Amino acid sequence: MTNTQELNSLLEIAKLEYDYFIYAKNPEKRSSNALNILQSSEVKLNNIIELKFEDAESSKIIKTIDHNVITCPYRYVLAGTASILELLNELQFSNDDKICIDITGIDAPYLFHLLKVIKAKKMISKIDLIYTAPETYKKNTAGYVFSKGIREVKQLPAYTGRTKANGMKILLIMMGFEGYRSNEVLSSIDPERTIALNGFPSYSLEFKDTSILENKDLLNSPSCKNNVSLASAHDPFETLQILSNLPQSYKKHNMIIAPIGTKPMSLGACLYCLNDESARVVFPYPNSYITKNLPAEKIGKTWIYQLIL
Amino acid sequence: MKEEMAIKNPFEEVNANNLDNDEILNYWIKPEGIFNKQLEGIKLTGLIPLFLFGGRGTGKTTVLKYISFELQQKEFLKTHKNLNGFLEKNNFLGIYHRFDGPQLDAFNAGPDDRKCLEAFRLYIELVLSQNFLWMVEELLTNKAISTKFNEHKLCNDVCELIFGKKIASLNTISKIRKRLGNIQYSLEEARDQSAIHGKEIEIKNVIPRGRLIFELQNEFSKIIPELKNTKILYLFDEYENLNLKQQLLFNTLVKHRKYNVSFKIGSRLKGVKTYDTLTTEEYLRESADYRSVIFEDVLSPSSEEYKKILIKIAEKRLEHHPEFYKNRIIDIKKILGTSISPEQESKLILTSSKDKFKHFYKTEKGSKVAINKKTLNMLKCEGQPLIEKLNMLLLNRSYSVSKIESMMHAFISKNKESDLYKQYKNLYEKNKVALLFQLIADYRPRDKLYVGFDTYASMSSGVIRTFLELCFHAFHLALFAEKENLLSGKPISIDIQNDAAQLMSEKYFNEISSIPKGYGSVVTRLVDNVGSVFRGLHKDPLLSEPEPTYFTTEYENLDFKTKDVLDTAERWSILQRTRSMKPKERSQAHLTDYHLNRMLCPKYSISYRRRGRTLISSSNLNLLSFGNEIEQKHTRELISKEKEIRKARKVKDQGQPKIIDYLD
Repeated sequence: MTNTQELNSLLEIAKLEYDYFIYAKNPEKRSSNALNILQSSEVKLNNIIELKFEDAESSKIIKTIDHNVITCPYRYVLAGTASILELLNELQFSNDDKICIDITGIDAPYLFHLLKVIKAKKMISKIDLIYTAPETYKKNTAGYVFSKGIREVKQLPAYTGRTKANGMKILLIMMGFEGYRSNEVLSSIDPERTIALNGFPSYSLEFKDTSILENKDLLNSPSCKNNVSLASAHDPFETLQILSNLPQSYKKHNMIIAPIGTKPMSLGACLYCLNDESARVVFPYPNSYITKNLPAEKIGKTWIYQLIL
Repeated sequence: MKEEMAIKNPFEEVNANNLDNDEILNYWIKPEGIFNKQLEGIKLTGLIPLFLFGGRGTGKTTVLKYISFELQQKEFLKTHKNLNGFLEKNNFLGIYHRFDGPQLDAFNAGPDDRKCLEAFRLYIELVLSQNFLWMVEELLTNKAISTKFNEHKLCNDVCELIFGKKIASLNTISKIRKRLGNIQYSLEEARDQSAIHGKEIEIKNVIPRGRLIFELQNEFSKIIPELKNTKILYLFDEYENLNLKQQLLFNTLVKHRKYNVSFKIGSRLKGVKTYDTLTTEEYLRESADYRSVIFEDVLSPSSEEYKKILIKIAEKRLEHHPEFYKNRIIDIKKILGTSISPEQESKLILTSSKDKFKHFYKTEKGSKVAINKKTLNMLKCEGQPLIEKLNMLLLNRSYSVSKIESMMHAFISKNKESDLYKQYKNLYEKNKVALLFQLIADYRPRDKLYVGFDTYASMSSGVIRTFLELCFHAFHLALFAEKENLLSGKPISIDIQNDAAQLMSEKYFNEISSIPKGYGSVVTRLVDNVGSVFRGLHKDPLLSEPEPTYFTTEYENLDFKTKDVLDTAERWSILQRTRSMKPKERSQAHLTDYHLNRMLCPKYSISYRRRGRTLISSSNLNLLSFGNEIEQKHTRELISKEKEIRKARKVKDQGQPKIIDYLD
């Protein structure tokens, strides 16, 4: 069995069952697509935990008859994660339990921290992650818009890296469609070298070129000079492989990773960082995310990644 | 085709953060060249701590990097085989450290602020001390330190200092450095663990404050003769990224600096949040504890000194590009040429228009009213559109046609003894640039031209990077459209220069929105409103005040939110604070003047000169920043009208013949 496969294909050959299914619901249809597939395939989900991301400072646990909701302040990862752990604790989570997380709607900083905590606390050793790709995005005159402005570029908690006092800064940035976000990371980090990672094969043919066009300032910057690598937009293990295969000489420098590409690419970076603590991870928090006229128009494939932490 | 590919724009890279050490040496002039005059009595590399303040792109980073050990050693090695003699020549070692925002924030995760601060303090001291030790190792390897010394004794002394005991295994400088590196790693690991477990950060190896950045260096200077009189300078960049508590900590270190160790600190304007220290009742006092330099004051856009610096910097860049160097095309003043005069520009406007009488009209109640043929013939001055425009202004100010005609004739015939000549000349000189803007408005879609070296220098607003960016755009377009001319030493054409200025202005404006922490949109709104008010006032038919390009306000009376917006705009050099005039009345509060960055002038088609001042009250500034669309529009109109009325009244008080209709 490969690590990455389509959920529907797996359901045809395997019987799945989870003690905990965690997902983030938002107005985009694809955020609850996996839940619909699992439920219609009669996969047993003992506890459903719904995360709701919002621009707040604290987190709340709301219990309903059939599922639990946790409000997650998108800039306060520690508070949101603490609530998730608190609820798992209340639900008497044990090391033998099976967890599945649908990462489609989960913010990258939460994804990183959740996996770090699960691994560091040795909560479980195996986990299934699901992701539903978009097929097309809505485009307006300004291009693809998912967020507005940059509030700050921050280091993700527990991914602060190990600084080599005399080392260069090497930035690995996963390109998204919002070039200003990568520019902000670039100016905030001020790296000596930059490697841009583009999602290819992409969800849609034009996407790989869109990210190149939207990030042309980054690509033309002197530290980057069009240094682009390619990794599949939907397969985290390709990103993981690229990072693992970086030259050994990079080890004596300071690697900084900015996961602003696709969610599976971010997951690949996360898997790398879980094993190499010397890399630090930064994230440009926007002023706000677009909640109206959500960008994903059509739903693409749903993938499942089965991981051993 | 090959040749085309090979020509590189000499102004391609303008941000010091993106220049490597060689590029800084190649493209920059010695910092002393910038500060000669202003640093009288202070040596840039002396022991007095120095705060270097300046907006984005003013050159702080380049200056700090220039005096760092990495660059100084490269400079030295250009003329020497090794570093032998380096310390005798330089007598200072600069350790450059940029406060990288995201990294600073990582120390703020724990619940106890004091512990977070202590961890941060130790972390920075560990990084700086490793840099110092690495530098000493480099000096030894490259023979800058050649006197024999007892490394074993030195290491013992250092171990006692840092760890409180001798550690036999740490018998080389390199081993001590690596041990410090390991302590730093364990601190970083503790930082991660604190985030994972939601607990306090656990600091295992506490090394007292200052020991790694003052005492360690002193131990070395006691044992290594070459270091005895060598100053250690910590070159901190982007001080504004530190939070208040972190600044308190560093202020304390600056206040209590020791031995031959000192600090040179680069910060955005308004980037120092406090001058207090961690010690109660002690604070940093200017002159006694530190000195400060404001780049914008040093690099006044109209000063000859500033222009000389720009010429030198451009020359250094052009010299490194064979296509330009081989033909001695290295003088940016010649490449951009002299700025076009208002008279020349006004003639160009009329030459390109079929209808050459669009500017002959009177303004009544805000509307254009045609003048009769007889008046037109009396006020015409063939080939001198600005004189004709001045005549229209005087007509609007209710001067009689015959008087205007007499004044004009006295002026044209240069009848210098006549009062009419003096009066007209005074009006002409005072208003000609403003009249040009009005003439341009009459001949739309014609735009103001922003061309020539002096204009580019002025538009750069004292920010060297902006000038280099302007040159980049001009060269970029010229290399595409008129490469042969450029490479044969002809000046870049007016059209290309103007296109480059317009392009850069638009780009500059668009970049404002990316100011982080939510300020981008508010600063953009304020700037756009202020720019629009100025643009409107440039069209005031009475020219009650020529060329309104800056505003004044009672800064201390601003509400917290608006103050924050203004401070942010100033930190990013979007608004530049200028020296204000003293209040006219005793009871009046002190006013603060803000000049819109001149790079925005092409966008709003306004003058880049510092001339007319516009008063904007604190409440109106708040509305221009935070008001809804209707409130913003209303406020813009109010400011323009208030100004027109106030000035018109002034004109009336001064005994002008008749006052303007719309006042009634």
